[in-house]
Amino acid sequence: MSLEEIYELTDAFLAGELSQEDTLAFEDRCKSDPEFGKEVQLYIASLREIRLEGEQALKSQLMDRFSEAKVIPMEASSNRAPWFAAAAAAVALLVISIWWFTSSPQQVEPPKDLYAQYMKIPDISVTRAPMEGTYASQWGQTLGLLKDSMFQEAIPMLDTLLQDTTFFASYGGQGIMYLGTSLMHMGKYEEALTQFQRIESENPYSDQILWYEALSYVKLEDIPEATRTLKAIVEKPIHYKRKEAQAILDQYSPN
Amino acid sequence: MFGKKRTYTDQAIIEGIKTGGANREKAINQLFDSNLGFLHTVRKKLFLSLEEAQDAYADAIVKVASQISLGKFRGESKISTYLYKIFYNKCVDVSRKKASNTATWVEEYPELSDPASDLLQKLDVKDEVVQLRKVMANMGEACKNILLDWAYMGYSMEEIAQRRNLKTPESARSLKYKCLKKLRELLLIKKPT
Repeated sequence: MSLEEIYELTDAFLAGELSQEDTLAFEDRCKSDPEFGKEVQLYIASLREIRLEGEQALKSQLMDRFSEAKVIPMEASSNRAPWFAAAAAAVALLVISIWWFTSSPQQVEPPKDLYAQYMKIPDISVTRAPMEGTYASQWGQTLGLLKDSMFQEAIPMLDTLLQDTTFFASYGGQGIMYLGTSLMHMGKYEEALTQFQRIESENPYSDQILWYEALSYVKLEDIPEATRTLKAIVEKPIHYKRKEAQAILDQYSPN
Repeated sequence: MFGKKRTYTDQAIIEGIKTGGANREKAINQLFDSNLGFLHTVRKKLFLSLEEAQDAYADAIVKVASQISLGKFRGESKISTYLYKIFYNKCVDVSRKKASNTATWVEEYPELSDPASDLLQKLDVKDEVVQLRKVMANMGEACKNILLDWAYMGYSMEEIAQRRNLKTPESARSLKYKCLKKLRELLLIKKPT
């Protein structure tokens, strides 16, 4: 058997593409034919060498990515000369002016930042007392993080808690509301929507969740979905955000 | 209308990484970009320098990508949660090293797929045969690139031929075997004692 054939056979074995019978035959041959076995081992060793090199190459690509403008952390840009900021601002102003004067007069004015106007992270209600058992400490910690606006750290903790069906059954609504609004705070509106959709309409937190769902659509500029959700709020006999929902709907269709 | 930012779902990231090639690169970049917020929270918490945190973050992304490729990420938590844990632990290691003022560096052994590990166990392989030798550095750039494209990044022979300016996928395949043989020879050279 040529080396190429051994490599192809080993690839098929590693990918699980061999039948059960062929897998056993392959393993038997590795044991009974020392030359064949040695080539297979060397090939696996080669793959590991390539993996190591690949991991190093990937890491160096990722390190380069930090220096790309769009992912530069804020601190990294602080040593730029002040003139650079002034020049950048002047260019930005020029671009905006050109856009303003060349855009068609019929063009609809983009909606105001309705999201910023209405979005407010929910107040943290401390429910440590009624919660007992294994979740109490983790829930308490999570609420502490949320109170300190450490949303990024609260997200994985909420995620873990909500995977537990017992926790979800008792605190799902509140947990989802906190998780969803934390995701919104981090700019992950679509992920927030996925979370909000896990809650049934009879959940005590469904009114709040519906409001945050609507705001996520507003932020994503998904006007049809935002309108649908806002209308659902307005049409409810009692909803704590009816007035605000109507105000946004009025902005969408001023006439 | 202003552009709507699309985010990948966990499933899309897993599929992208497993598919390989350009999809893998996009999925890894998405994973990298969408979780950059971790960098500052953990850095602030553990008092790391920006460079230390960036290094640990890049390591964590590489680790997550490898675990997904090898099928070792079982999807029991969200990828971001998994990444956060790995990143946080790496940062804790850096922080401890700083605290103890030791400069020791333990290199992680790249993992193998489950069938490869099982097979080596069954064969009761002697360490020296599969010992990591870091011989890739001794290969030419052309060979190194083609082997990385194929075995690490998961590009198809058609894509490799295009990326590396080779005439046909067959030329890429034949070069790949030539390079594998070269790597085999380098592995067979005994380490100086």
